[in-house]
Amino acid sequence: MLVLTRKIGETITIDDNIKVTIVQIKGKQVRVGVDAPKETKIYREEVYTAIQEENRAALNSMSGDLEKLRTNKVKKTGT
Amino acid sequence: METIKTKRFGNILANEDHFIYLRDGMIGMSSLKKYILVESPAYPLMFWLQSCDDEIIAFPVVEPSFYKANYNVRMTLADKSALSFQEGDRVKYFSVLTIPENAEDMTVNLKAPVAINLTRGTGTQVVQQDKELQVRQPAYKTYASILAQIDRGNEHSDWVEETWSPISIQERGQTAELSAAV
Repeated sequence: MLVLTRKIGETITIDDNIKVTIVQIKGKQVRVGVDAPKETKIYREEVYTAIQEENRAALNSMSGDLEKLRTNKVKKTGT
Repeated sequence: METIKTKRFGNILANEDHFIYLRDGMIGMSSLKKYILVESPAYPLMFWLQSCDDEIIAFPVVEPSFYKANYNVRMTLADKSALSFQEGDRVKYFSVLTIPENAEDMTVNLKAPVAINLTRGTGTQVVQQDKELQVRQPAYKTYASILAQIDRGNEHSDWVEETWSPISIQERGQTAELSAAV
């Protein structure tokens, strides 16, 4: 990983069209501004990872159980 | 017409109107871009976002409104760009379900709905900033209660789009051995 030291207000340029600016430093938190083409999707890593994992889990859905669930439900409403 | 191979529904006949193009794919699956939306009586209240390129890839999805009234999806410029969105386009949102072996543990992803631009046949998964929206919100109770309403004869159908509809494998499916899907 490339590691660069930057001060508040300084920027890193990636390719021709992405700019990452250090906006604010407050204790252990850093505010970062990203300027990128409008089709670029930017996510917090942990959110992205959680969604990625959830998508994979969704693909393993055992829908066979749904019918079972429904049968139970019909029984319950019948009593 | 094109024949789409699917693991769950067998072969499905689809035409250009049915295809949904996800420029960026689903999150974590960027290489799969072409999907169809399938509904089947075997899986009430949900649709399947089925990949046209990989037969085993199918996401169960539901109406987010089942789980959250006034579910407001915010799209960024990047999201709109992925949808080729233009003012006046009609967009519909779906939430992805995860149904584990014990269906009572099923969850719904309200954090990252799938937006489908009905006007253009494009789609994208839209990440919401709202911290209250969860990736794994428990979904069983609500699902079961809506299902029970239907079983009591109260039809619950939100699908009123005229320009575009999911493929109902009863009507348009080619082979569709449902028992094989379970």
